[in-house]
Order: sequence, then C-alpha cells, then structure tokens
Amino acid sequence: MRRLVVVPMLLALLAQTPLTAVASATGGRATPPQRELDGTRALLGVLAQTYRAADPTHEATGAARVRTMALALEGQLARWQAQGTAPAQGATSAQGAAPEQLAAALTEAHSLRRSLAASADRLQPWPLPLDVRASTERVGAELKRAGLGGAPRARPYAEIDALLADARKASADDASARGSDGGGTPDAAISASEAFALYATGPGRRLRVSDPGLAGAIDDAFWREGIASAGTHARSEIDTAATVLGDRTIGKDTVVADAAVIVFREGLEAVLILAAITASFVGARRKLRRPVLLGALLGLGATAVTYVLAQALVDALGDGGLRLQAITGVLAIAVLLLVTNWFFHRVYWSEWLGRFHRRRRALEKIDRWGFLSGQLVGFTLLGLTSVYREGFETVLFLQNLQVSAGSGATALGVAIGLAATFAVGFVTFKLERKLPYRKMLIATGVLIGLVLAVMVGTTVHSLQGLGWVPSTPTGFTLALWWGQWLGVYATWEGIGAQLAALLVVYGSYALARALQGRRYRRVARELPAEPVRG
Amino acid sequence: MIRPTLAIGAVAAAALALAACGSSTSKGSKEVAVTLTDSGCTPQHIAVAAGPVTFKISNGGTSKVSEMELKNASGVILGESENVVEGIEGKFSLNLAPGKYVVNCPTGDAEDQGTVVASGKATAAAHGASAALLARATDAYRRYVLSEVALLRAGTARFAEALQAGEVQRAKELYGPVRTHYEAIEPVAESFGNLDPEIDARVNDVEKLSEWSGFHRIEKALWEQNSTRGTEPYARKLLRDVETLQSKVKTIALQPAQLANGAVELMNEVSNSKITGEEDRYSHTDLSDFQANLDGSREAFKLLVPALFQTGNAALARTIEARFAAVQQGLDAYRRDTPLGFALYGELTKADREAFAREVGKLDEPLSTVAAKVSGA
Repeated sequence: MRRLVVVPMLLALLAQTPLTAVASATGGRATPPQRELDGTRALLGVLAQTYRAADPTHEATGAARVRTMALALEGQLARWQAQGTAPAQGATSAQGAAPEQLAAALTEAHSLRRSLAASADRLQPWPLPLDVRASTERVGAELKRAGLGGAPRARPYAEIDALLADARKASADDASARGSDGGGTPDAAISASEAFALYATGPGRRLRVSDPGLAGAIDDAFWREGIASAGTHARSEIDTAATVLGDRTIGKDTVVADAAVIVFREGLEAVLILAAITASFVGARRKLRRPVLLGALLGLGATAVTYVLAQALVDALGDGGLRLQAITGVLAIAVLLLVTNWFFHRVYWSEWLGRFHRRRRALEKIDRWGFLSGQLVGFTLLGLTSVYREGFETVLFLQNLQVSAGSGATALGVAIGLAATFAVGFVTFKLERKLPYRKMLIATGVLIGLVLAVMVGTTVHSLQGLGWVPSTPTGFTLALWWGQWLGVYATWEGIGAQLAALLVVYGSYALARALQGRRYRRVARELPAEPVRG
Repeated sequence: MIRPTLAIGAVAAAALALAACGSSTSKGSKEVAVTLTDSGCTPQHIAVAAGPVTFKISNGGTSKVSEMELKNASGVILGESENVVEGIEGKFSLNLAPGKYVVNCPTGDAEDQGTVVASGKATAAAHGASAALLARATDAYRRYVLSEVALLRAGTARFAEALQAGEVQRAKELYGPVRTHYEAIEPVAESFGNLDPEIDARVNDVEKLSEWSGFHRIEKALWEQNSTRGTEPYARKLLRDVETLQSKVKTIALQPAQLANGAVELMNEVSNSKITGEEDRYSHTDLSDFQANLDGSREAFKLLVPALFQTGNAALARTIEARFAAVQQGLDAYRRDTPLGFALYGELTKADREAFAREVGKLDEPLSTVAAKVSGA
C-alpha cells in the first residue's frame, strides 16, 4: 500500500471547516485562478475514469488515488467558498461564481467523498462506477451553472507548472510555519492533484500510448511519495513528456540559458553603445549623461511594452502548438543570424556607432545654439533608440522560447540576463571601470552561436513535426537529452541544418577576422576606453 | 459472472489436447511472460513452438487492463487470466496446436490486439493410462456441464414464469437456487463471447443501464422495487440466452488443461471478486453463488485426480482436496434452513470475509499448478 500522507491531513482540514457552514456561506464574488478552474474540471473526469478502472478488481492503489482526488476536489471547492468572502491574492475579480451553485457543487463533492470511503476495504461492495460518474457530472454541472465551466487546453503545461509551483509553495509555507519538513499539506495536495488531473487528461492520454514507460514514471513521480509531495518530483518528468510528445521541442534548462545569453548579449551591446555615446560627456558636459540614461530606461520600458504586445499577438495566434513554435522559431533564427553575422557585424558596429557619434555631435551643437530642451529630448531619444533596438531584437527572439517552454523558464533566463547586464552597466557607468569588453563580446558571440544551433535544431524538429521539412532518420539513435538540451534529433535534415548554421556563424567570424582583423580589433578597443577616461 | 470472460472453450486444439503428462519442467515445456500495460499487453505478437505452453501474466501498467485471454480463430476463449493487478500475477496453461491464436487484453477502447503463432509439429498425443484417464475426465466434465445447463434451463423457465405471473416472492426464492447452475459452469459460458454478459452482467460491468440485461437486471427490480413490473422482457431474453447456451455447449470440446484452468478461475473469482458482495448486490444471495463456484471447481478437479495420481502427483492432489475441504467447512458455517440454503451476505463480518478469502487463496496456490501438469507443460 502506498503512503498517502495527505489523506489524514485533508480530513483534518475538512474537519476544521464544517462543510455545512461553508456550503451556506455567501459573500464576495471572486473568480478562481484559471489553473485551478482547469485543474478542478480535469479532476472530475480523471476521478471517474480512475475509479472505473479500479472497480472491477477492487484495485487498492487506484482506489486510494480516487479517494485522494475526491478529498482534493472537496477541499478545492471549500477553498473557493472561503475565498468568496475573502478573495485570494491573485484571483481575478469581476464576474465570480454564484454562491448557491458552488455550495451545491460542494455538497455533491462531499457526498461523493463519503461514498468513496467504502473503497478503502477491498472485501466489501464499492459504489457503482455509474454513480461515481454521475456524481462528478453533477459537480461539473453545478460548476458550469456557477459560471465555472469550460474545458482545459490540450497542452496545459503552463497550468501544470503553475499548480506544481503552488504545491511546492504550500509545502514550503507549511514547513516554515511548523518548523518541520512539511511532508505535504492539504493545499499542496489539492494543487498537485489538479496538476495530475490536467496531465492525465491532456498529455498523459497520448503518452500512455507513445511511451508507457515514461507515463509510468510520471505516475510514480506524482503518487509514490504521496500526491502532496509531487510538486518536487513531477515537474522534470512532465518536461520530458512534453519533449517526447513533441509539444515542447526544447528543455527548460536550455531555455533559461538561451534567454539569459541573448538578453545579456543584447544588453552588453546596449551598454557599449551607451558608453560610446556618453564617453565624451566629461566635466561640465557630464550633465548630458542624464537624458541619455533616462532615454535608456525609457527604451527598457518600450521593450517591455513591445513584449506585452508580442505576447498578445502570439496568444491570439493559438495555444502554443507546433505551428506557432515553428513560425516563432524561424523568426528567432533570423534574429540570431543578424546578431551572429560577424562579417556584417563588423560593418554594422562601425557604421552604427558612427551614426550614434554623428547624432551625438549634432545634439551637442544644439546645446551651443541654446536649445536646451531640444537637446534634452534629442539625447533622451538617442538613449531610447540605442536600447530599444537591442530590446526589440530580444523580444522577437524570446517569443519562440515563450511558446516552446512557457513563461516561467523564459522569465528566469531574462532575469539572469538582465542582472548580468545591469552588473556590467553598474561597473561601466557608476564605477567607471574598464571591463574586457572585447573578450565579452567574443564569448557571448560564441555562446549565441551555440544558441543558434540549438534553435535551428528545435525549429527544424518542429517543421518536421508539421511535415513542412522532410525527415530522414540517421540510422543511429540519440539519448533524449540530446534533443532537450542541444536540439539535436536523429534526422539528417536537423543535424545538417545545425552544422550549416554553425558553419555560417563561425565561418563568417573566421572570414571577418582574416580579412579585417586589425580594423575590427581597433574598433572594439576604442569602445570601452572612453568612459573610463571620463 | 466471471468478468469479463473466462475459459473453457470448445476448440480444434482439443484434438491434440491430451498431452503427455509429467513434470512441469519436462523437456520442451515453454513459459511465455506477458505484461499487461494500459494500452493492452506486451509482447503483442508471440511466436512459440506448438505444444504445452504456460502463460505467466503480470501487470506493468496502472491496472487499467487486468486480464489476458487467448482465443482460437473462431473467437472461442481457450485460456485466460483475469484480476491481474499490481502485485497479483496470473497464469494459465494450454496445449497449443500449430496455428494462429488471438491475444485479447481488453482496454475498454481496443480488443484482440495481439497474436500467438504456434509453429512446428503438434505434440504427440498422450498415450497410456494417463491419456485414457484424461480423456475420461474431459468426457465426464462435458456431461457435468450438459447436466448443469439442463437444470439451468429448467430453473430459468420457472423463474421466467414467476416473473411473468407477477409472483415476486416466488421469483425471489427461485433467483438464488437457479443461478447456482450457471455459477457452477460459468467458465464454459464465458467462452462464448457475449453470452455471459447477456446472462450475468453486473451493473458495474455496463457503461449504460440501457445495455444491461440478465439475472442481475431482474435482481435489481425484484429487490429494489419489490416488484416484477418491467421484468418480462428481461425474463424472455434471459430464457432465450440460456437456451442458446445450452445449444452451444452441446458442441463443446475440451482439453484437460482447460478443466484445471477453469477450476482455478472459479476460485480466483470468489477470492478476488465475489467476496466483495457485488455479485448479488441487491439480493445478497452471494453465499449460494460461492457454493456453486466451489462445486464447479471441485468437480473439475475431482475428475482430474486419477490422472494426477497416475502421474506421480498424488501429494498435490491430496493437498488440494484438503484445502477444498477447508473452504467448504468455512462455508458450511453459513448454511441456513431457507430456500436459498445460506445466510445472506450481510451476515459476514469483515473478519469472516478476510478469513474466507485467505482460505480460498490457500486453495488457489496448489490448484493453479494442475493445468501445467495435465497439459504436459
């Protein structure tokens, strides 16, 4: 018999919260977070299915899971009831659940849980699967009448992630409150049960056919140590499932690294451009730095707005299927090719910087003519455009990561990249110290080349999944991590495209160095020296 | 009802069924391991040399799939193992003639997913005294089946009359005793495809109530509504289905391993399923079903005893007989002077149920080795 530590704890929770009182509670209208709604609706279906499977043989493990799910269901509805009077943080308000229907759903869920208690003893009659299903359908109908209807998405990875995060947080909060290791809490069990239900009704259904071994491992990850502890076990397995099913063509760790590298690289470029612009602002003209840096901040803000708009556009295009991954992947590759095109980059660097210098000098003339306000606006715009150009590239690139692996991993990578960028900015502008910028540019360039290779591999994989690119097996197999971490899948088209991308990037770099090495080094050397002198 | 179906089917393989008796480790014996998964069973396609084969079944899924059936080309179930869930393994033995067989591990969505291809020459027919004893056993069991089906038909006709006459009490009194003739030979009925579900499906077994018929549909009406109203169509259909069963069993051919497999499955069914009290959920007449299952299992075993003695398995035969007696002794404690002859299920305490299941489990253990011995595997 597997350990289900959550069951007595949930019972304790429910004992502390008289359901009759909860059922009669009315109050404010708070719509629960979407992930909870989706998870609860999925829970209804999985509960009935699992019970249907366990009933013929009175199979104990399945029955224990069903009882846990029934407890989680009742616990969630009770929690929503309680939140009706004191909406939880994060809940969206506006239209909320009708209290009467929610109370009816809760009463039905309570009755269901009580009836399922019989399944704890294998050698006695259990409730009929027909009755269990009917009961879950009644709960579903009441939720629908309460305005909480709808169907979960087919690829609910973001919701599963969020629910598992909720479970981990609930466990951690409980451990902190008790000064113990927690061991699973009722709230954690509710969130993890919903995460399991979303998995089981979505990706799990396909995975059981395509990879029964992995499906079994995910089952274990959710249930082996008790569902309330699943938050710490199940996430990486679900990530693997997403990759195996082709729902996600890249691993989360890779996404974090990719996002961090691209943000840092673009951030570094922005810092260097700003440094070049402000290098001559010394002495009395030091005040001119302020509008440039203000513009840079506005550029960051504009980048954030662009990100939101891009997200809205991507959301409008679909729910993250392969098609969207492929399209954004091609876009991201274009961005990366632009960033990593060393031969072009040399020209871009010198001409681009030359443009900024020309604009700076023009604005300085305005100062001499006495148009201070015009100069202020001009330098602010200069700072804004220099940062926004890099920010725009980054936003385009990040869309693919967001679509492929969700917002959590992307946000983490962006945060790491921004932190590194701000550190470089702090050292450059505040401490006015010289950093090995040239080496940093080259190092990040090499990393970006690798990011490009991974991106090309995953995008070709997506395109092959859509049938837009042919797929010729190599004849040898590769471990799963090759795909998850490096985007390498065992087809000649994918590997060939990755090699071609690497050849283009590093070949152009070698060519640029061979042809124009001296000039390039001189330009790169010039850039960081100026702020230090200021 | 043994869910979904069990074995003892008629089969062409019976022609070469009377296999050489001997040790279960005799030269040439074969074991095939099959793992149940949530999508069926693996391996899906099995190649094996013709002759005695023992299938060992375990569950590697979440117990969504819990049984394996082996059918001949006509769809008749030759052998099966059910209630195979995590921690509970199953096995059955058969003497396979060369040819192609169908493996069914029903998922609810898919059936008949796999194949077994038995190749090579058929095992030489059993010879000598043991062959004659096994032939007598199968003939005798066939007569037993025919006799029980005849009693079932007669009883069902009386039951249907009572229902059509609106005689609730008489119908209730007939329900348990009539069913005993079905329960005793249930593995045979189950080898004929949908006939068993039509006659004996529990409410648990059906997706929609509108698809439900047979004894238990009528039981629900009699005990829940205390009325015969609406039962007439079910009664007529039940009688027709029993008549179909009777006509089919007349053509049945058996191999000795099927007798033993059936005996085991009957007792497995008692210990894993019927002990829950869900077979007769409304009337609580489960104990008379237990007795019928025990009688049918014991009859099949009893007929194989001479061959077991002949082949040096006397100790095994004595052990099994002693354990049959122990199970019977436990059941005798619940005999009552009523038309049913037994107490109602509700009189069993939790301890009683556990003790009964334990005793049946003890019987299963040696009984499950008999099929391999009589099939030569």
